[in-house]
Amino acid sequence: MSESHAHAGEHGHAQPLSFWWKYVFSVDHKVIGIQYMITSFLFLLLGFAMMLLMRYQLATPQPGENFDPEHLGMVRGLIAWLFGEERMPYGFMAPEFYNQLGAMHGTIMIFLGVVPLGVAAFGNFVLPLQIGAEDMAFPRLNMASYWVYFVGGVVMLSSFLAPGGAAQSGWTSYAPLSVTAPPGQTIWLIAMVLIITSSLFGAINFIVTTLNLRAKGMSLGRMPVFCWAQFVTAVLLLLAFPVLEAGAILQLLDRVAGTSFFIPKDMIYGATVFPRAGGGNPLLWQHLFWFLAHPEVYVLLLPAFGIVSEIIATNTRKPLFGYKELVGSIVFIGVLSFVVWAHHMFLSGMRTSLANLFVTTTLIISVPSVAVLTCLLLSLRGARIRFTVPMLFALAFLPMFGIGGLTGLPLGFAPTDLHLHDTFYVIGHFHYVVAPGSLVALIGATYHWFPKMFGRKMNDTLGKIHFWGTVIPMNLIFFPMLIQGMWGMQRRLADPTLQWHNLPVQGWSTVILVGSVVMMAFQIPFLFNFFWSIWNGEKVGENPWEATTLEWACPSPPPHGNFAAPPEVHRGPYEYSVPGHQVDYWPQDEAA
Amino acid sequence: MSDKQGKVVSVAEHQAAHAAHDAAHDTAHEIRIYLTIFGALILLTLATVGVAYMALPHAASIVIALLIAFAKVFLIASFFMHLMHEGRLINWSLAVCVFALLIFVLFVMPDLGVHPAEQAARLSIEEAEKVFHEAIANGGPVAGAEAHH
Amino acid sequence: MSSQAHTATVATSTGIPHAKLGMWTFLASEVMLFGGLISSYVILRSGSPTMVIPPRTMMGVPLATLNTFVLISSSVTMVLALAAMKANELDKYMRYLAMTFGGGVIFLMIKAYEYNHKWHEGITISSNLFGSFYFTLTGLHALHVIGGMGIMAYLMWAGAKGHQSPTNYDRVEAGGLYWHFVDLVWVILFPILYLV
Repeated sequence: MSESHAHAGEHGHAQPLSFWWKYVFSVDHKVIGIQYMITSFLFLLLGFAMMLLMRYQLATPQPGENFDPEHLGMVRGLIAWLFGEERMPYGFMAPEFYNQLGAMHGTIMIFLGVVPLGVAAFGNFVLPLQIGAEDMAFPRLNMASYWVYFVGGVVMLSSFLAPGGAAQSGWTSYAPLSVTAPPGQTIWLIAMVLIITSSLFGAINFIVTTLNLRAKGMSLGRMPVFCWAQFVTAVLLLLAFPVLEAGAILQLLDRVAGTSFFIPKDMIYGATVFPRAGGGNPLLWQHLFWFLAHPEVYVLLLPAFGIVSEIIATNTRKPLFGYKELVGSIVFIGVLSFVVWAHHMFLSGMRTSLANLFVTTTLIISVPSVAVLTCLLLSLRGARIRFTVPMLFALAFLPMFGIGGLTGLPLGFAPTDLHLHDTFYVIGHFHYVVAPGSLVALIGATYHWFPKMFGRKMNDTLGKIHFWGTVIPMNLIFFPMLIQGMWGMQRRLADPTLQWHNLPVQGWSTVILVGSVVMMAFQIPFLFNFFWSIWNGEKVGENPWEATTLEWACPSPPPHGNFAAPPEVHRGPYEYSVPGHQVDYWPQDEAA
Repeated sequence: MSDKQGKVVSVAEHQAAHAAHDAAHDTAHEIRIYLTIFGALILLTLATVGVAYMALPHAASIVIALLIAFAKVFLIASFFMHLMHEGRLINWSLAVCVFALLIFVLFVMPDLGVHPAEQAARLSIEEAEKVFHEAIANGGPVAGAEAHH
Repeated sequence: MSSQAHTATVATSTGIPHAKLGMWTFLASEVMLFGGLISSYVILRSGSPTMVIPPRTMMGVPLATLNTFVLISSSVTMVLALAAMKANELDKYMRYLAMTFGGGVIFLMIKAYEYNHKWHEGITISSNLFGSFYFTLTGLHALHVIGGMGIMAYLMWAGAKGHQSPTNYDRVEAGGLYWHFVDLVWVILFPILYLV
């Protein structure tokens, strides 16, 4: 008896699925991708809100002359009331709370925001479509991956309610401070184990899917750059995350089981010797942490490279410049990312000869990044550019990432890093690559693939408003940080005015605050646009952008099973403006 | 589904090929191989325990123990896990993992492992501390100095 | 027929079944997990001024050697179970799987005795750095053994239900790979914790 039709579009389900199995515990990669997308948007907004609080504190860390504790201003009164006397006495942030916000902002943005959006949301939705597959290799594992992420996120947020507050030793959780921190740190560690588990499930799925489920004719050399980027990212996650998990297990044991993996002998804690056997080494934590966390930043970046490649190819109507160089550089970055980690540790007291080794490897890794940027820039040359909203974001990515990358060079050189380490310069650098860099690319991806997800386009006017209202304020926020950092303003300091050398650049913090508020305001048209367009946007067909890759060769949105018949691939992914061809694009699956 | 050259390979074909291969070779032969490897693993285990009880210099005993362990890992991986029959993809991927770990250990060892100079310095600090504590026990350095007068 | 279709092997671009490729990918991450912990042990053992290694008499080498035999034997029975499934000998398959499961049980029982013995000797997870690493490494390994026993139980259930056959044995192979890996980790832990 055949209950399992070989029909694409059906998976042998005898009856229609209930609401729970269709939308909540769905095993369809498209539903899971959208679940990830919406959840990660929520976490991004939360992280943004935390940042706004911190910037408010940094802009006005001390009461002015006219301060009257009985009559707080509207804003200060509101946050004093919201957060209570312990966290925000009279609306000024207690240092512990500032550190909690700082640690959680970083953790949430990276692990609950940008990575799930770039890898899990867009990777899940687009990758199987672009390789011509029905779904991921392990659909149930995919579903488990989302729910473990969700639970991990809830656990992470719940740490704010722990006695003593959330984790407050930086997202980097350096020992021994993190070992002696309040219980929120333990919750952070448990949440991280859950999040890492979710990522590993996803990485296994992406790797097996990319290797095993490519359509007929889809050789590795015909895969879109986006797929290559997701594949390399999955390999980075697979190999690097377990090392952090090992470290997290050790730190958890240090906190709850009385071990001393990271506690040196006879460590002085307060007025006494910390009652542990000792013998451990705090630097071991740093090595274990950064062994993951450096590949992690490429996990943040590579999906953005993939996204920008796709958007640029579609909107320049010509093949990408240097497909082989792009893919080769992405793979090379992946490989090299494993040997640069200790450039985060130049000031840790580690052996200086080792530091020199890492300076060398760090400088080498800048080369393939430049190669990627060059290929993408050269792809614009001689093109009839379509300035669609996604293209605006993709174009903005290029110079913003350029600035971010260049500002990284003084950090890669140990001698200059001596001055810049742990200052706002570092914050400016990495935010330039992640915020006007990756996040801008991810927003572009939202506009680009929204029609495929929902069968409707987002509104262009609102999109353009969102674009300018995001990219310009981002520069107002992060460029002054480079200046403040060079002046010596330190990170993780609730009140920078306590150090007199910060006073000349304190004024920039007001600029940053204004930029942050403006940027937050301009996300409102985006959120409105997103949800409004799901039901009221302009309806589109299969291929509204007239693109060549396979995700545009199925209905919008694709049904369960994606393609009416398994596609067959006859050419590379970017056959635009082929001489002699009637139209300026030649889809991968169209017959010869 | 297509591989790198766009050829279609089905797993049923892959497994049928294996099954035919195995049938041709006779399951008994395969089992004999497994039992031989089992014997080798037992011998290697006994060897490694035996060597441990011989009072070898520390460095030599570590090297031999690791070599024997590596041999056992190789046998289990190659024969029980059938790595011998797997293609480049899986073998190279595992090599990459091991390489990544080696990088971690090799880069961190010089930083956190003991350096002979550090060891010497530590010893001299310990000796200095011993003298200091003895002096305290004898009624303080000054008193000790007076006692020596 | 439909129960086999449920776990049927689909065509793949590499020719490697999903279950096998997926399991190898997972094992790669496990290599990094155990590798990270073992590397930390190696690094601190050579670099820590206060890691005192208990003498071999306290470590209970003979019992641990027996445990090593137990685990290696269970690996052999596992691969024999796979051979039996390929040769369509279901009863042998079930018997060998049960022996593999039993091997896991014996391993854990011996481990429990060992742990008790060490606690009486004063080697605990917090007594000193060696104790911390010993219990963390073997504890995580033991958790993986328990997971492996779960997989054996599933494979016995699936075999009884007729889900596996000489042309549909990826899950047996994948489960076997996991079990061999668990054995492999022990083969490394045994000398570095007990013998050097």
